[in-house]
Amino acid sequence: MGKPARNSAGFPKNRKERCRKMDLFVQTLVNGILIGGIFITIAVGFSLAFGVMDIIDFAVGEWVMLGAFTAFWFNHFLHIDPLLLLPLVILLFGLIGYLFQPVLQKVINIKHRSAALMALAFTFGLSTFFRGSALTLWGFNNRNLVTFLSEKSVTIFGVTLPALRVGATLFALIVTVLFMVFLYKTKTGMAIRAAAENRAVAGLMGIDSHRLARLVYALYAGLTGMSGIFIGSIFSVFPEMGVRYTAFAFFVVVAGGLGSFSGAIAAGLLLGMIASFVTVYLGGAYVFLILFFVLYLILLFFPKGILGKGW
Amino acid sequence: MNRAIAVENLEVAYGGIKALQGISFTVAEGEIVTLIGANGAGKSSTLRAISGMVRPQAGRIWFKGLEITRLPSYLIARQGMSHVPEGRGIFAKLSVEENLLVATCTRKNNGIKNDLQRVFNLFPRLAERKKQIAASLSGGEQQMLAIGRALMTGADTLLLDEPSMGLAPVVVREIFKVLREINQLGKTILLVEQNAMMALRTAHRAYILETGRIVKSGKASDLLADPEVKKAYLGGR
Repeated sequence: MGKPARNSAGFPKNRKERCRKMDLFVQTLVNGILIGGIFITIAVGFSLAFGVMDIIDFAVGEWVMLGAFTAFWFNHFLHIDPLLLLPLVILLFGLIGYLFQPVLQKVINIKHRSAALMALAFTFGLSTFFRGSALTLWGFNNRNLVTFLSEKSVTIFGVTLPALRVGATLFALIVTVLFMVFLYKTKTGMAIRAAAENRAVAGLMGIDSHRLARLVYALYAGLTGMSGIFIGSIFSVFPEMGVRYTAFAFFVVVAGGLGSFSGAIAAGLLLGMIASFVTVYLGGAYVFLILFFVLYLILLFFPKGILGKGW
Repeated sequence: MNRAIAVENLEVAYGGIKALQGISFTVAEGEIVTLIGANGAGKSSTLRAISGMVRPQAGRIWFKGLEITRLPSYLIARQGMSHVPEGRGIFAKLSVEENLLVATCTRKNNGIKNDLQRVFNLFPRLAERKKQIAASLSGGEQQMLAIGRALMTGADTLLLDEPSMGLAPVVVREIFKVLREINQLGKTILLVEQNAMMALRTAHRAYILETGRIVKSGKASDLLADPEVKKAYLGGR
């Protein structure tokens, strides 16, 4: 599991012990919310792709990794600030997703009793392939993705807010809100939600769910690749960074309730909190242990997800 | 009268089990035709094959003169056919209004408001509950929503699968009354029902299915009076 290369908790050093503890708590809370904002972007796209295509895409973390590396190499060779590459990465990964989705759809549509499991295995294989290729091409090294916001921060009421995290969260939230507006206020969005609920009946309404699935996968890949820039610049960029985010995405979709977008948002925020608090108070190595213990409890007490809106 | 639907030697199988063993029938434009029969006779499979939800093993299907045998369901729907599946298939997480509007996704904007009003006139209870999540509706209201949604597609032909299933008799009467009204508006209806009495009283013509074959057909009023049909499907009444 990739540990964060930089811990930007930002402890105030010259304060009394009690204040310091309180500050640390607030700081961790704010960090949790900030990083949760980025997880939400991944979570919404991932949850939607799952709804429309009925598949958990185990390659989700690799889209994050590839997004981060794309920004890194563009920055390395062309010296373009990674944050300015956001639109390019969204478009590029959107296009890749759009072109790749029919391949995935073919696997899902195979007339076989275990088609769903085969598709799952396929994305798992794809993830291994991407990760292996990245390791072969770029080695084990951690790389830093430095943006014009990287070293800046603002302090409000003793809480240090790293400018990059604030910017990333704001951007992620704007994108998520736009995505939600698209889903809830447009005809295509309504058709996507209908198809996510029942593809066969959506077909009876004249809705071409394959075309919608392609659109959704393109949006999902674009948003996930974009998140890679933020995650890579907040933490670091390395070929194995994706595994962590695949597990996170799995947590969000299951904890939020399969097929529930609002649940995915709540779970994304919860994930940010857990990751932030466990990293500061117990150590980064315990994040997964606690995370999946929490997931176990959620499934035990809220089998339809934390907001009770899943299937 | 022009033919709305024509089915020729239709065969459908699930795995090794044949649900339809070569049936042929027609539905004329403006007609209400019902398929009746016991559980497993192949009624739902017929509708599913016509609307493209299952691929037939053999046979051909025409809709308004166009062969639709192997078209995907969304293309068949766009020709003006709407199938209300068994169990209603409403989008439970969408609101009542969204369920109705989602059916207009592939339509041009003109006339949608009028159609929505017409559905609310047919089913005033849907108008009262338009902002509610569809899952919160009663069974009867969900059936009304499913029929209303089919109308919103702008289809001129409706395939209805067991609209009376699981509903109280008073609600069933209400639904069938609306079906007659819809038919009077010029819509063609192919109705699958286990409630043979209600179906025969509503339809113009009927086909009786047994184990994947048509065993009898004729005017609904004649079949209502047929002693064999009375004995087998109408409880001897």
